[in-house]
Amino acid sequence: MVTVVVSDGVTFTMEQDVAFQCGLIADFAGGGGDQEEPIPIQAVNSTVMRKVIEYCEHHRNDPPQPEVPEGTPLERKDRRGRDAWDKQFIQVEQELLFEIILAANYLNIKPLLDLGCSQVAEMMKGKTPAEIQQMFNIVNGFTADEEAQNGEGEEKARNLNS
Amino acid sequence: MPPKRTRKSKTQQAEASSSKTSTRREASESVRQPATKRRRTLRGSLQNLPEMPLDILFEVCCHLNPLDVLNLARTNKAFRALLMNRANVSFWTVARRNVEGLPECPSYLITSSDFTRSQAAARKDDVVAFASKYATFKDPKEREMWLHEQRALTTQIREHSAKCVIWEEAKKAMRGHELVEIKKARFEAILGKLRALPGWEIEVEKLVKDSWGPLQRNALIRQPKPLTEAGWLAVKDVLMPYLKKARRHKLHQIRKSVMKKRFHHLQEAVVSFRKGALTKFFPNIQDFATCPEVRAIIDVDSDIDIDQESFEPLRPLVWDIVARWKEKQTAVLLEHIRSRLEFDEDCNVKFLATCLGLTCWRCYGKIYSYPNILWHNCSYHSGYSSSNDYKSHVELAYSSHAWDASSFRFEVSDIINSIITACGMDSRTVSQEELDMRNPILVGRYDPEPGFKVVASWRAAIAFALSIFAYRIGEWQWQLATSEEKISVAPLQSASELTTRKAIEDGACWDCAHCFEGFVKRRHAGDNFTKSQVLDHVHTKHHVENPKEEEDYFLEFPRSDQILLHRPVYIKSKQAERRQWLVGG
Repeated sequence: MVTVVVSDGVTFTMEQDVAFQCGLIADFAGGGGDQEEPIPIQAVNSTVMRKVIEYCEHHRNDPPQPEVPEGTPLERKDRRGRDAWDKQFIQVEQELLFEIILAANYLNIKPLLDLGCSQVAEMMKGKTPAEIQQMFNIVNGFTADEEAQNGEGEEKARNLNS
Repeated sequence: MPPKRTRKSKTQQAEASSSKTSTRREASESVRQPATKRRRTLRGSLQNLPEMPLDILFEVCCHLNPLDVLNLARTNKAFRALLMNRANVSFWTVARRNVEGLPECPSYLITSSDFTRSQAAARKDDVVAFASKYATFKDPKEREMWLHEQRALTTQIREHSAKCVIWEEAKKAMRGHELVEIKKARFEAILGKLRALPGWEIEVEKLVKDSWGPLQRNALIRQPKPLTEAGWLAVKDVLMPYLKKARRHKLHQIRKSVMKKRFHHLQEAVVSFRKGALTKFFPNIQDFATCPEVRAIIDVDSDIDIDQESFEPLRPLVWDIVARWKEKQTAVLLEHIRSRLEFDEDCNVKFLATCLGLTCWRCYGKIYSYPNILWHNCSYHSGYSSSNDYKSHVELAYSSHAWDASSFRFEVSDIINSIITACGMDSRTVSQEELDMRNPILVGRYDPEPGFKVVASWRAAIAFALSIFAYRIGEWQWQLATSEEKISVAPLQSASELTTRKAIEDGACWDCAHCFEGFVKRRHAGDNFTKSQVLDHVHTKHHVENPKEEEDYFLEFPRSDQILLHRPVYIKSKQAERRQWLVGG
């Protein structure tokens, strides 16, 4: 069993095969026996940790992911292991999604990081800059000239797309 | 290996961590945080996206196409600085890999001094820059070398653009094929969903058979994307009205068929009710069917069995029902006449001679006297009705309109009134009976043919006037015959009366009591029998040696009033003989 304590003081105890999906915890534990001392995970809070553990528990029996060759197109690379459960799992509020991505990055859980990033990408795909700005509440700091240049570019992009 | 984190991300996380450690406390997994933390709304929470660790942004770009990366670069200055930086060309490299078959990006585009512009598109002022650069060379050799480089670059650009054109064409062709396949799959998916709708199987098959082609042009249905659950709900909203319409149609057809059978049974029942009283007034079957007592039996749920026996309770009531119907429709008729005609309030309106001027606008030209007018069976029915009300079912089943006072108009009342006036009577008060009793003899003269005269009773005068209604009726002048004229035509008139009686007898107004099928069928199959025909029919078909009127055959109510069978006496001078066509013999 592996115990971790997160930023807001909540302690989680989990089985090794669940915990070792997190590269960071596996590195901490050194790959051997039960860990008596709780491992501090300062960058993750309990809400996000629960989601992370939920993901790891669901995928505890997954076979190891085959190495995807460099340069594999999105259509073939992205969908590996992303099943209906994953899709449902990642349908969360933007704030939590952001935190899950950061946690997956910090804890070194590659499949979860992929899942979170692909979800963000899905939200961006096919959107205009204005739509992306609106969706992610990104402040537009362009001058009027720069806006006009963007506009020209958008027009060309639309022509390319049509 | 965990992905390498940038300094910025570490700092950011450290800050986040330190802010949270203030509320840190020791707890086991079972300890739950109080639910006081308020979640932000779904939209806008990733506003710090530009400040995310670079490797996370890189991961996101791994899932985007170059156009999406370009759009992201245009969202704000931070993204533009990040993504349009030559040092971060890897963002574009990974995005380009997501576009299958896209030609490799040539080195001149990546190493271009103006990476931002080269990634977007070349600009016109590059030509100006080229000219300026050309002018700076003093040494012809250096200039030639530079030009050589530029030519090589141009060749590279052309080659790359040719590859891009081929790629684009192939992509378009592939996309077109893909779209067709996607649409086909979507149609199949929609049909599958439709067929899986419980309880709508018949309607779905009808929809597929009748309307699926046009429906495929619907924007929602032909969308080139796979059918999702949400998409299906939207498509279902489009299709449900069609299914409901198909269901209404199906129910209407079922009801129509059920009602048709019931009306057939009613007809059989009525034939049996009328046995032995064939000449007694009886409304047309479609009118009898609308009587409340009859409707109460017929107009019930389709799953209830109704046959001829079901109408037996009506047998003792039938003549009361007929009397009530007659009384009610007479009142309606009188109301109709009152609203259109001037007459004396004290007289019996329905028997006024002027009321012979009522004609049906649907089968124009026929005139009726009371009560035959109540028996008018207008067969000008389209034979189609989409309405599901009882009256429509009745009219559809018997292919006839129900009796309707508003069908009658005084189209020929001017002609009739002019003849009544010529008789020296007041059209507002004189009844048909009174005129028959007085039996005035009229002489009609046609002004353009002074040698031609018509001598007629008032009924024959009307029949004559209506027979030439289409011709110069206004040029005929009617007046009472003088004594000399009466005496001179007396023998001829007696002969004419005989002809009239014979015409009535020989009129197609007779029917066989043995195979009398009711009301409508025979009339639609053809005309009724003349008297000689009905006698022959009863004898040969039913083997009756001495057929008796009322028992074996009977005189039906004429469809048009017998007035039209009255004949005048024509008197022609020698000069008028040449114009016989005028009165048609």
